[in-house]
Amino acid sequence: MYERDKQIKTGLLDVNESVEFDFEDGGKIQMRLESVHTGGVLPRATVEITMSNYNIGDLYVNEVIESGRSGAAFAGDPKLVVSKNVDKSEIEVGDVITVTVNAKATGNDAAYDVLFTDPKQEHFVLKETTYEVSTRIPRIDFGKSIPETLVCIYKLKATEAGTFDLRAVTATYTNSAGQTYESSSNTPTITVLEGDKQRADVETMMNVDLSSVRRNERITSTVIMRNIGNAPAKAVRLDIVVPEGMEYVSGGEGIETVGGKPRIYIDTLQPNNDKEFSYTLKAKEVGKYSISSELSYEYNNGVDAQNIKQNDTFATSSIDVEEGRFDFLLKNPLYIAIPLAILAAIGIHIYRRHREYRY
Amino acid sequence: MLNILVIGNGQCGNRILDSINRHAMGGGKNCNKLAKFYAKQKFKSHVETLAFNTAVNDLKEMKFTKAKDRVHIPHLHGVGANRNVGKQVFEENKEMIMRQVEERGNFDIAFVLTSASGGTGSSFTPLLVREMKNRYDYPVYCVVVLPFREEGTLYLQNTAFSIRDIRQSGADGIILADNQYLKNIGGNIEEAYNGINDMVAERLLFLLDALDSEMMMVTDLGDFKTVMSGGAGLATIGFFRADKEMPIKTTIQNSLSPSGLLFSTNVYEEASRAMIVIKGDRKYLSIDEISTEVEKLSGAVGHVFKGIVVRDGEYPQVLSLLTLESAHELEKLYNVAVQAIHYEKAKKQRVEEGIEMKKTFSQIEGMEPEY
Repeated sequence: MYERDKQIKTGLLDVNESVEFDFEDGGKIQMRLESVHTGGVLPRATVEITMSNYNIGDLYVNEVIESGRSGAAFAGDPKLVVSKNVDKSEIEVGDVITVTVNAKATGNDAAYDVLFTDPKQEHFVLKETTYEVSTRIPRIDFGKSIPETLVCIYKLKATEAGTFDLRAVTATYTNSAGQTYESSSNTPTITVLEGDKQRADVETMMNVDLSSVRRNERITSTVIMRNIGNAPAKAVRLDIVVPEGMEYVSGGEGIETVGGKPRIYIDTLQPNNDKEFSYTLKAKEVGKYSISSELSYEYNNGVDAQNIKQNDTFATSSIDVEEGRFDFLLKNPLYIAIPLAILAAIGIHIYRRHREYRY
Repeated sequence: MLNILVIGNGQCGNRILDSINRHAMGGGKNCNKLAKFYAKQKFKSHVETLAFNTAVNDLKEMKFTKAKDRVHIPHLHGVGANRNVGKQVFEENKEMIMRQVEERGNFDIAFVLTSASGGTGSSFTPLLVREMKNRYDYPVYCVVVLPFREEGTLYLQNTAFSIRDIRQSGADGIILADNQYLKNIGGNIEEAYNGINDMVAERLLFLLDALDSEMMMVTDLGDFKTVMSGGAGLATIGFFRADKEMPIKTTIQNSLSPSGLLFSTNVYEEASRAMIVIKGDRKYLSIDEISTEVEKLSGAVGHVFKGIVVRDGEYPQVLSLLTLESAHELEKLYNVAVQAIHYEKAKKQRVEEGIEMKKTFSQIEGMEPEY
């Protein structure tokens, strides 16, 4: 700021910041930085200058800038207020809420080429879209008399319990001078309770009749599968993993073998129903074993369109396989060779005696 | 160790021989039929056994005698109780028979077991003994089994001639066993025969055992020969085996009683010499009792050889060998045999004269069949 050629004051202003100074007797001048625009070729700033309490005689025109005031066109700052509203803020899993998005232009200019972006919402699924502006809105006028613009109405279904903030709707737009602006909506909070969501829960018990067997002896395992949930379990499959040192011999009704591996398959296991299966294994090698199994099934919780898949693993208590009754014969072939030799000798002896006494 | 040859001639001799072999395997007469597969004869001496028979089926019935010791003399199936046929068969096969004896080696003593009444045994034995005596210098004793008196005239006359022939063959002695006397054993005929065979076998085995045992008081082969050379060349054997604790005095008396003897004789009247072999645990063998009984016997018969074999834990057993000066029972047998010979002779004469059949055929003399 200069008085004549003398610099009185210097500095920088932020947007909406102003500076005042006096001139002559009681005259005041206020300069306020309205906005700064960087999108064009050159950076531009809009400055609001207000003169007050001055004597007209104190003013005189020194020079008129060419194409200045006479060529200026008004370009304000549009401001869109986007609101996102829900009909219910506390629901249960599976319940549906209706979301309504509105926009209203404030500020001192109309909003042009308005585009709304509503991101996808986690923990909810879009159930239905009632209304939606399909393309960009070319102009939203400002003013108290201009009603709110309806952007969209849609319904969301809660899929998971918890407290969630809906994501904000973003609006991008320009003013009459083509300057770009952006606004975001509020983010309503929704509390989703667990509610009465259905589920299947297949409890599996695997038992063996013996905890200790000798090699080559047999062991019977019993499998009891019970659905303790409140939804039917479908495609229930239990793959029995027979350990290396054991061999699958046979199984009762309902147990099939696929590729030599035993498997139980139940099309549907209703809630509170159970099924029992038994199968026989043969201990092949000495060691400590546990029979494990891999369970898989799926169910519909009454909320989701897709079935929910469940997997689990189970195992029996450990089984000790000890040496067989005659394993010592295999360890030491002499135990076989010597008796065989003795038997052969006895056989030869008997034959010779028979020949000796046969007449 | 003595070398002993035991020959069984004919069915009876074969069976007694088989019984000896069975007893020698252990277990006595209750020896398991399968014993031959796991046991072998346990003779004190070196004993060779040999069975001759013209009936192959009789040889097949033997179960405890080795096949090589069973010699079939080929003549169809036996000689049919005809001693003349038997003698002829022996002569025809003499060299083969004697070669079998020769192959068994040299012996200190031989026993020939036979029935006096049958075909093969009664005819073979005298000829066999004669050949053995001609060829070898060891003594040969015959154990001769007398028939049931009711077995028939042929058997009776066979017995009479067979015993005579054996005596004349040069046998060093004949030990008699009488089926008639022993048939009070009871049971059916098979059990009776088997029982008699077992009795003879048990006594002979005991005798063989005693001849080659170390004794507290000794009887040996020499004593045996001396005893057998006494009397009329006939002898018999008495035996008793206690199955509970029993004084030795009682055991000796039982061996000399009718139930212990193989042939009916009054020991104290008919015996000429005797040998008594006593076996058992030392605690049963009272010298005083033994001496008393032996003295009592020697007072009646003259000399008595006695031998004592100590066997720990065994009840007392006594075998008595008696040679006979006379044999009243044998005289009775010969009386019956003479009657049988007369009966057979008369019958044969009638047949030869054709008296009975002439009467039959004379009824149609001069007649022709009418059709």
